[in-house]
Amino acid sequence: MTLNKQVCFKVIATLLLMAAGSLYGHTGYLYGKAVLAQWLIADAWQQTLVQQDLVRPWPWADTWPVARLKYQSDDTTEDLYILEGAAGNSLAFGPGHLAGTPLPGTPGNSVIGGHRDTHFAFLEKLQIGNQLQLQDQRGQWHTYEIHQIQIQDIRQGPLRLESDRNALQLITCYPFDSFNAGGPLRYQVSLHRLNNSSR
Amino acid sequence: MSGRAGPHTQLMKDSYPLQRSRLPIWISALWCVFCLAGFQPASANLTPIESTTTEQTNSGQMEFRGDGGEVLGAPLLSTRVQLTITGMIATTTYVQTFHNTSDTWVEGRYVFPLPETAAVNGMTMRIGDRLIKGEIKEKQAAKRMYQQAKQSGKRASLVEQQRPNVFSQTVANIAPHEKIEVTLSYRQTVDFNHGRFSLRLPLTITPRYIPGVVSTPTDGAPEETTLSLDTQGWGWAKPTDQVPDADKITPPMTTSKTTDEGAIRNPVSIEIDLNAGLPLARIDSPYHDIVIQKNGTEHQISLSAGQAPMDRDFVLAWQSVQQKTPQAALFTEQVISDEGGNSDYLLLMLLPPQTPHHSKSGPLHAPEQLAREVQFIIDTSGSMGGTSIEQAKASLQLALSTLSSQDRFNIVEFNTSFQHFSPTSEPATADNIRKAQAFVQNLEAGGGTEMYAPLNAVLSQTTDETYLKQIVFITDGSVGNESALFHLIETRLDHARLFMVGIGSAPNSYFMRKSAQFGRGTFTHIGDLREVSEKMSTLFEQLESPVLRDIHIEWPEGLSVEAYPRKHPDLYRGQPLLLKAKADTDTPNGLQGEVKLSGKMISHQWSQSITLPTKQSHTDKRSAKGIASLWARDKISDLLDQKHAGISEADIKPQVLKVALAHQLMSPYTSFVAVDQIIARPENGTLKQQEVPNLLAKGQKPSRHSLSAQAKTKTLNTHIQRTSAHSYPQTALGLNGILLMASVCLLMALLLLMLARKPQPSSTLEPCL
Repeated sequence: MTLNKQVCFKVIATLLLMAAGSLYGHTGYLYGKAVLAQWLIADAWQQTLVQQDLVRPWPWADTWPVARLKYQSDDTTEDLYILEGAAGNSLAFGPGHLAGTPLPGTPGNSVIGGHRDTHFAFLEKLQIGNQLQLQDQRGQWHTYEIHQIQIQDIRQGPLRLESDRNALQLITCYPFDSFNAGGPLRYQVSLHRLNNSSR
Repeated sequence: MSGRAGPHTQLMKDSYPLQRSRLPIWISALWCVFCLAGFQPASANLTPIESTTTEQTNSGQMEFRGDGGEVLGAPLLSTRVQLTITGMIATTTYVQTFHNTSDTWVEGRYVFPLPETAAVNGMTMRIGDRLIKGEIKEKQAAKRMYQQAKQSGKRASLVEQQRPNVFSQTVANIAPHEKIEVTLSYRQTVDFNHGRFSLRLPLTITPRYIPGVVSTPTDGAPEETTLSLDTQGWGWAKPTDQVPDADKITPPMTTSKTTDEGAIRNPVSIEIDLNAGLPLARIDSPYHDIVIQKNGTEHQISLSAGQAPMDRDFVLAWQSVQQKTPQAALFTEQVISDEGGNSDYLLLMLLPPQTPHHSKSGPLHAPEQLAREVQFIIDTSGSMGGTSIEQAKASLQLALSTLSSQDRFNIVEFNTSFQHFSPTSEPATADNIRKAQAFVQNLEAGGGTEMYAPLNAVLSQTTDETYLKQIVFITDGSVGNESALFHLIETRLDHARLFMVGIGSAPNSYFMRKSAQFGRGTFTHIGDLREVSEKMSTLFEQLESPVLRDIHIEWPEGLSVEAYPRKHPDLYRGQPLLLKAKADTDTPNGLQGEVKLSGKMISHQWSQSITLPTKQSHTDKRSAKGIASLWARDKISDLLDQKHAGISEADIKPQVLKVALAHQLMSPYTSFVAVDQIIARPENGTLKQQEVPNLLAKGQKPSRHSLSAQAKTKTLNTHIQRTSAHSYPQTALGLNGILLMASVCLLMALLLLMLARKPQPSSTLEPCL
């Protein structure tokens, strides 16, 4: 009877180990995809700047880089390439520009979404007054300053944006360490452009 | 050794059944864990980015009154439609009976649709035996007359045009348990397309999406508290900067087709006298069951159930026997004006010869045929939910499958925001088509109808000149800012051509027809999945190229002619040339001579002449009543179209008023008003305002994201100057969750392994016992 149990336990343990392994694998895959893709996108972005045209990071990609975002502080350096589209297909590889809003760096209020557990995890550390650098498709660098950080509930209505200013919204899911991927809360970092820009 | 081994194997065997029975359970349990942990993030990312899917309808503006319950004492309404079709002209008597079932005096209001081309030229109000003829007045004057009558306790009725296809009817001082009947009469031309005549009678309004921000009353001027004096505040939407009359085109909706007694709520009955003047091969009504009685060449048609709920448009279509399809037809009406002069009004229809590759022998490519670049725009807003999105997707899939390899294409889907299938147009390779079909397959309806941005994006995209740029726009057109969109199409069209595909049980036909006109293309209605293949293949034929371009019309000398449309559109396959003209003759010979028509066909110049009838022939049966009204209606429409070309409303209004008043027609600036002279309501009797709801169109879902979101944002954002609404992105992979799950699995595995180890000594003893 005990031997019975023993075998049974072993089988279950093996299955659990397999499950754990594949789950770790899956995490690694998602994470790896997020990190590695940015390397490929970096090249595409350089080409975009040279050619002044859309360049796909890999031939079958359904998205392409539209801006570059940099943040530097004492303990972190983030250098991210923003992709077109804020749906799952592009967010897997990088933060995405929300279609229907102006392109980052152009006049108006543009929105960038990113995964809270990969590219946009650093948003948690940002404070009001921090500055970020953004490079637009013409190669121009702009400085943005954070003036507001809010937590929004998507059940309260759609994201409303004022449209007549040079603003940028970074959006990610909230809370940052939640186990559930589909929660209703969003972390919204609002920035406005400072009046200096350089090449 | 063998002694040990024997029982061991024995035990193993014994344990098998046990393992077998448990294993599947464990496997399935683990599988569940897998699914939950590993695949949830992926599926969460795929869900449509919808922000306010909560089914709350607590926002006060959304009057979805009555979930099967009575609509708060609203007067009952029944509609009777009598249509007489003679040749190309349909005359309609539209009778609305308001029945106040309550014990109080009621003012009833009903926002209802009429055909977008209707020339409304008559109105009467009947109270018991008394008949009061309505008068056409300037809009403000009519409103004042109505308000005065209402306050003094007289029964009165006011009909206003809110859109060419949306009208409102207000009836004041309906006594308790009284019935008041208001009759409208209108004329329209019958549509003729691909050898098929058809007539659409819209019966309900798909709730319109109202873009923009709620306009706040200007500072200093307190909002008038005399609500009873104005007809404002009826609709579920408030006026916005983009749709200043939003409250007037958004009637409350109901989903309950029947009253508590089981009768049809607000039923319609339809009776048609069809005198086509031709032997007919087929009469059909795609969305209703009908009874047809044949009487020579005349047909009497009615609903087989007698009455029907007003939850979808009624369409009647008929076809003549093949060889008898008319190639040209001319109808005239002579009107003697007050000054004693004669005016002749003409309705001219001509079907240009169709080019030979109409034959079904196979696709024939004319040598000069250009490769096409087709931009598909598909509406995935909330109002497209239900059966509409299925029809739209099926239409688009079919359209994709017919692209040829030298063509290029792209797809844009929009609701609150929009998204391209690809950043630039793609060649229509088999691979790209497959990808596009997968893209279309995954589309779901939800969100607002922000139509301006995607249309603008598509129109402003530059195209290689060697390609023929075509835009196929699939939508139900349920927006309130039509005017801004027409302006956009008119100014940005350039070389492109816009083809509208109207989807659903009650699409906004005004939007479809006008967009196609400004976009110099055609429009197609699809109301049912079964119609997709037939209607779309007609469209594909039209997409190949226009049959006739640069149409020029030369009138006989001595006639001063004012003809509409002034600038004739390109004609596509199966479309007739339809012309309404007013000819003033001073010569005693009257209307005579030859009208010369010419234009460019694909490979050659085309011309044809039509002989006008002489004065003597006026008595023949070709003369028809109502052409003058139809001409005036077209003239008004033409004048109003100039607004989109930048001419100010102040210049247009007097001209429209002149035509409308002369021809007794409704327009944006003229209304019908009827006032009873008897004071009915005692001074102390209070008057309650009640709105008659429209029935939600068939196939649509009542919990409408666009509406509830709309209603909410209105109250939230009144102070913000200019805002736009966007869906939040879905921004988590849930890596934490997966890691947690993995660790739990690992821990449990380790625990089990430890447990499995412990009883080792006892198991070695067991065989000895």
